[in-house]
Amino acid sequence: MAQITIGELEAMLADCIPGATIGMKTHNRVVYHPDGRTYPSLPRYDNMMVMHIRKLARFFKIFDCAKKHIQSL
Amino acid sequence: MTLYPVMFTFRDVVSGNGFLGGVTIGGRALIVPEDGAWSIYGVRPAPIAESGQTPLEAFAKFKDAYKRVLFDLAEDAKCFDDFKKFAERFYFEPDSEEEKRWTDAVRAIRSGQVEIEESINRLPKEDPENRPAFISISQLQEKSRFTPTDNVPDQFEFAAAA
Repeated sequence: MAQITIGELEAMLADCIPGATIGMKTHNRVVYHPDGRTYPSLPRYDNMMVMHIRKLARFFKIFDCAKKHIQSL
Repeated sequence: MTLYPVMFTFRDVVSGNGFLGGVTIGGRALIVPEDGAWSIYGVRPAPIAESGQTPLEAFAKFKDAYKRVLFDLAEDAKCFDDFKKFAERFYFEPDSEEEKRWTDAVRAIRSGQVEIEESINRLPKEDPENRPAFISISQLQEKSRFTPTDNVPDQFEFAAAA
């Protein structure tokens, strides 16, 4: 399964959800949407399996935009 | 690509800042064979995904991912009421697209036109009508009576008519 780097995730979010931020918790990495929604379960590793980003993209309804940055979605 | 709708029940005890929370959920997820592995995508709660070499491995990792979210929420909560609010928000965070995929997958399975992988077909089967999605959160340290009937084993079922 393809791996996505945190840099690729940050670049995708900057384009697809301007204003989104990424936080680090004790057990997970968390993505905060500016509209208040939260994706709380990304791995803390700097490389993560593509299915995590696939789910995040569907959850935030940015799949088509995300796919432009991450072809393996 | 076949999507397999599954249901699960978890009961967990979570330790927080001055409280002990009991969290029981009846949830929904989709299991999908893709990229040479099995992915599992949360429907309720929605914002979780995991994968494994088998459906059961994916499910075990999904359960672990769910617990790790609860642990982070407990750390953020100043009190039990905060934790309850955070956990309910996490559980009810909607993902309409995933819910539609789950409902469509149940319909496809019921139609009998889907060839079901053997590893999925071996799972216990249950009609989704008999397993409503729910979340229940209680403050355990205030309970005065505990009984063995409080125990709930993890359950993992294929959403199909039994």
